[in-house]
Amino acid sequence: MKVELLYAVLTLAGGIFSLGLLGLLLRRNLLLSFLAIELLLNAANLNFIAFSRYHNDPTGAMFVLFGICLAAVEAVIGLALTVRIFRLHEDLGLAKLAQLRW
Amino acid sequence: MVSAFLPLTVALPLLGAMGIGLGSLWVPALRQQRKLLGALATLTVAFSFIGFLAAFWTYEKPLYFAFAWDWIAIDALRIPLRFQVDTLSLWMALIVTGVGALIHLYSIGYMGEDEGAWRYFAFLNLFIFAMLTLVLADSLPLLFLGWEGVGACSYFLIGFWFHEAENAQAAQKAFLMNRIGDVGLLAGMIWLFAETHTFDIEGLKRFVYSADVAGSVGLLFFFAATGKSAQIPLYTWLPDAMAGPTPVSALIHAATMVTAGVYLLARMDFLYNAAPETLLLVGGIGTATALIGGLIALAQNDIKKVLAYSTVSQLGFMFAAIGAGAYTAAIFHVFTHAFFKALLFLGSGSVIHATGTQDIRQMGGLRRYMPITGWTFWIGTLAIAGIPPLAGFFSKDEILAALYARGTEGTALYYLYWGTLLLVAFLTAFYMGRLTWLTFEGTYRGEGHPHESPLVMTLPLILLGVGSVGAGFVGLPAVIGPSWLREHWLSQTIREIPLPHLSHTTEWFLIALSVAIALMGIGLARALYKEGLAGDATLSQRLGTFYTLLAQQLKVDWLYKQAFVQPYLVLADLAKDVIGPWVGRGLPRAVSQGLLRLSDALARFQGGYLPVYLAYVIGLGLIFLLWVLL
Repeated sequence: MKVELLYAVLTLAGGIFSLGLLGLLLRRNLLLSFLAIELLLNAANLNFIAFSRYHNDPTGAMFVLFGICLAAVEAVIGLALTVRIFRLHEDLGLAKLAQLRW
Repeated sequence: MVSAFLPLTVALPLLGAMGIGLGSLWVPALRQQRKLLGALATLTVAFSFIGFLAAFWTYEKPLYFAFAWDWIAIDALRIPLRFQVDTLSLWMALIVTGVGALIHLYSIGYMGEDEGAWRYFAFLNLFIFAMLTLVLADSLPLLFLGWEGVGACSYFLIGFWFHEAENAQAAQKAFLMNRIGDVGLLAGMIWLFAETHTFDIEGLKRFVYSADVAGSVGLLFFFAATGKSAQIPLYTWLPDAMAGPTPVSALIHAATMVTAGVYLLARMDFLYNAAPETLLLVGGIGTATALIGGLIALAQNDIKKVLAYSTVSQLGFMFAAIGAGAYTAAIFHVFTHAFFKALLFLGSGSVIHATGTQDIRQMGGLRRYMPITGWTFWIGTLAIAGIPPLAGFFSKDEILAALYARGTEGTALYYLYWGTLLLVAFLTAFYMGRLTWLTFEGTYRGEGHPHESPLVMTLPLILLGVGSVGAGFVGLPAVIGPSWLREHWLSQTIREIPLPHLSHTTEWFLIALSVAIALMGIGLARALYKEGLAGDATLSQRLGTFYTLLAQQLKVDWLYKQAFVQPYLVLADLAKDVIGPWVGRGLPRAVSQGLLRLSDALARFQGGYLPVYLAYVIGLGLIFLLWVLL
């Protein structure tokens, strides 16, 4: 794998990560925040894969497997919580979910 | 042979106290056997006296005896329960148990009707034991134990009728005043230990002390003595201590307690011999106390108050003697004073018993109703006034001669002490004459029919009267014959700086002077008071406001209250009004309020809005990145 391709993939991953971060900061809906978190995780996975290929080292691929696994678990728990919160409040607006504070 | 019985001799009063006190506690019926308990208490002290008398007859050299176990044993520091019988301690023990036994005997009559007699006799016995511990102790801590024991017993007995708040307060005052003095003894003891690493009195004698150490420790011990022996500035407890039963006053004033300070200083002769400046101060304080006591006694109307101030004054004489380095003269005066002061107090008790009052304005002419009390009281009066050949004359003369002799050495201050004490001797003769005339002569001014006390009370009076007449002959003035007490007995233990020799003419002159002064005092008292109370009016006219001041006891109590109690109350108010509200409550409140504000302010960062938290995380991440990269 050439170094130019690495740069391109890293740039793509950086773009996806920035999109996820912006979504997380700006979206006011819990469900969309989850989607943004998935973007963050996948951007990180993309980085791992790229470096793994570039260095010919399978360790990065291993991390990606664990990362996907983690993302799946997170999605399950997060979505379950989201459903519970929607049943409770009939709303997923983050502004209203501000009970965990003083 | 005798030495085998000595531990028992010392322990007898303690056994008596335990037996009477604990026995009556467990078997309440025993408390009603007042005469029996009194007889038991008297016998223990009397047997103790006989034991010491036997030791006295067979005395050859100092004896030591210890109880089986060590009192304190920490590493190398061992303080055994060891007692020392040398000429000084044996002499004191004889006074304590001899006079003490007579006072016990008298108490059977005086306290026989009191419900608390069992308590009384137990404490009385304990008092004797504590005093014996004090004088016989061979180390300073053991002496201190006796010293404190005496203080505690005086507290119990002065406050014996504690149902009246006044008596309880007098007891507390005595205890506290003594406690102030005790600090001196404790500090001096520790200082000596730091210098020598021993508490043993014989051991302490072997060291050579610098003038600084000897003077300072001597001063501390003297401060302790001002508490126990009622000297300026701590004497005010003694007149108040009259709140106790009269025999207790006799015991405190004659046999135990107040003589402890004189004994301590005589015992520490090796320190004072090395510290002439301290001796000068001791003499000055003693002289001033003698003067103040004598003056105040002029204007008191309570028979016991007069005697109390008379004791303060006589103790001043003893300390003046110590100030002259004449320790044996001080012990001699302790000895004679024990007889006539016990006699006077027991006599006054007999009078109080008969008339039911302590106010001499309600008395008069009592000698006709109670001849034995009257005549023995007269003996006591003449003895304390210093009329030869009664006991007080010899000891007082020896003290005055010692001060005069020190004066001839070149320290002019001793002449001043001598002159002042001559004046006090005149005052003594005068106020004692006044007291006796107002009490026993003239016509009876009270109500009812006073009667003579029973034999159990008059017998001690007669015996003490004999002592008051004869006790002085153990210490003849040098011009008449050698003083047995000084030359043959106490000199075995006490080391004195030799006094300059006085010529025979000077000595006869001094004797004549003190006799003349005593006679003048008695004569003036007779002139003023043979008509009864009119003398007081004349006296107060002549002395004006000074007389009023004397009647108010020079307002010393008021002064102490202003100087020590009031500032304390002001401090207490300060604590209540300022420190409490501001520091005690205000400051913690301010701190807690501040913390609440701070946490309120910090809590605003925790808005609960998820994107804001994320912004914090990202912000912190950026800062971390910048910090790593730069």
